[in-house]
Amino acid sequence: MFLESFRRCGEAIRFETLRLRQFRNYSNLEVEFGEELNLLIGPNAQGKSNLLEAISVISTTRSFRGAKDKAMIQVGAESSSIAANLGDSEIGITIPKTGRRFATIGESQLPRIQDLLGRAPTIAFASVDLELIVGEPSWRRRFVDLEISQFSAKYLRSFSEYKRSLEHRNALLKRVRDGSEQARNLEVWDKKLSLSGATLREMRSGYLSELSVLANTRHMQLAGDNERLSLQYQLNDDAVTANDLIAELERKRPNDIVIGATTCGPHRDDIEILVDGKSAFSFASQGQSRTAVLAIKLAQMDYWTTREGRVPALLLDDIFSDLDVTRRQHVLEVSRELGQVFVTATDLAAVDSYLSDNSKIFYISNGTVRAA
Amino acid sequence: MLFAKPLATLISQLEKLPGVGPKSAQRLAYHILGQPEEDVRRLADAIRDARDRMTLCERCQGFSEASICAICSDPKRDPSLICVVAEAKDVTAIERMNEFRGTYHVLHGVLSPMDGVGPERLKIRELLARLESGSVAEVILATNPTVEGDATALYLAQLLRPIGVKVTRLAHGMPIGGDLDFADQATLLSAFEYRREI
Ligand SMILES: [Zn+2]
Repeated sequence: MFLESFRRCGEAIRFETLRLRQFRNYSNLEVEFGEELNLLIGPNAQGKSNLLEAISVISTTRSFRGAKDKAMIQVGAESSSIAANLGDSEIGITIPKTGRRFATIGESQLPRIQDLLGRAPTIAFASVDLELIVGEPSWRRRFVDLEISQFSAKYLRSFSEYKRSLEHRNALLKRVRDGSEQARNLEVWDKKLSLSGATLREMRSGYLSELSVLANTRHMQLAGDNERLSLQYQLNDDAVTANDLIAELERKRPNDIVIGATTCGPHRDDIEILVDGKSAFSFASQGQSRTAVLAIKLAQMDYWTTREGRVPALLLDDIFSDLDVTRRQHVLEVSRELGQVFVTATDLAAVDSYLSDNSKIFYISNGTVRAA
Repeated sequence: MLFAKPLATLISQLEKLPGVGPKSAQRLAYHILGQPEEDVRRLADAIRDARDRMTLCERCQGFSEASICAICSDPKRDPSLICVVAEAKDVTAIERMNEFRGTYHVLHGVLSPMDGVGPERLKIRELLARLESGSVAEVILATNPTVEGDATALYLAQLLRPIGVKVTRLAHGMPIGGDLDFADQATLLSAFEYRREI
């Protein structure tokens, strides 16, 4: 990865201030955060998760809740904007109702929205993350795609090339089926798909094999030594190299033409998550799933810290309060060693005294934020 | 009805232009209606005149007033060198550089199955016809570095290589004077991939 040498190395990401304009229920908000723990307290549906969401959007260009752009723009407003001061730089993103989103660093506009990725990494942990265990394979692919895209420009490019080439190939398959184009015109799209597709497979499985080791270590700390966790990348077919994939695409071609869709390649792959050698998808209880996801999230933190030399901010939404006391303590110890943490909770009493003593506390109600 | 029929017709025609949405089509239509009659007539005449008198150059498929365009008929241009571009406007961009002394070939599009564009919709047959004489030494593929531009270049390369002509592709990299920190990462990545020794 060529670009790593250009990235700033070292410390923890710190969101010093966050400014929101017409974002969800915030018309105009500026918050100054604490360096370590930030506790966002308030009843449900008052806007505490919206704050976490805003941080995740400026970090990853997407909502961790999977929300569409339109849903994030305040009702009646034409656009929504988020800006964050990171100490040594200020980044911003503007989401218009119509037209293209754009990102800024300082006073300059970035050439593309994706250039924001990796500038302020975050790891979010919310109830929707349980889909990683119980959801469709697309959730797990989305998880690796988003994560690797944050630190690898090469991955991001291969990912967008693959996606677009796949749409073209599928369109062409239908055109071949109805006789408006010849089957040999598929060749160039097979080639484009196989090049970017092989890169996706190689980088996904490389990342996951490292993440699996880290996640297992975290899982043993959380669940005890005898419950092992592993993540395995599962190919949908036998093609590993670009040449394999080309051959596979050719082999599947007649069938693909009939159904009008591409039936092999990384867009069909999955990640198998095993707890104690058994598929978590089929066998894990809700408690086990929660612990497994938590271990994976902490492993993501470890990966960033050890491999990228940077410490992401941790965003802990509602699911955090569902954890038992020991696990909560564990997360907080880990994150305190590491960097900045944002936690939402419905009331202070629900939070460990340990936590409230060491945090900057914000009370949130009806779109206003008051620092305690 | 929101607009009287002649106005509605004008708006719907303007809306078909690239980059013109419903709002700007309305703005342009009202602007045109507010102009002196003589000016509007000149605009209409210019559009019809250009459409009537410009044709595709038989050789390079670029727009031309004569059957062979000014570039193709210029004896100082090297016809053994063909630079293949997607659109006629790309010729203008390369000509502005004032460095390239070969000739062009305009495809009038790129491969894009999603938009129903296959090879037969592009001026590829015309390109192959130009290569038949055997006097072409090099074909430079100068389509944009997009997925569709790359696929088109790939398609042409596979088609042309068996003919025995040298096929090259334009390098993509950093804009001169570009700032590393602000460069988009895909550009930076490709600048690394196409780096050369100095
Ligand atoms: Zn010509």
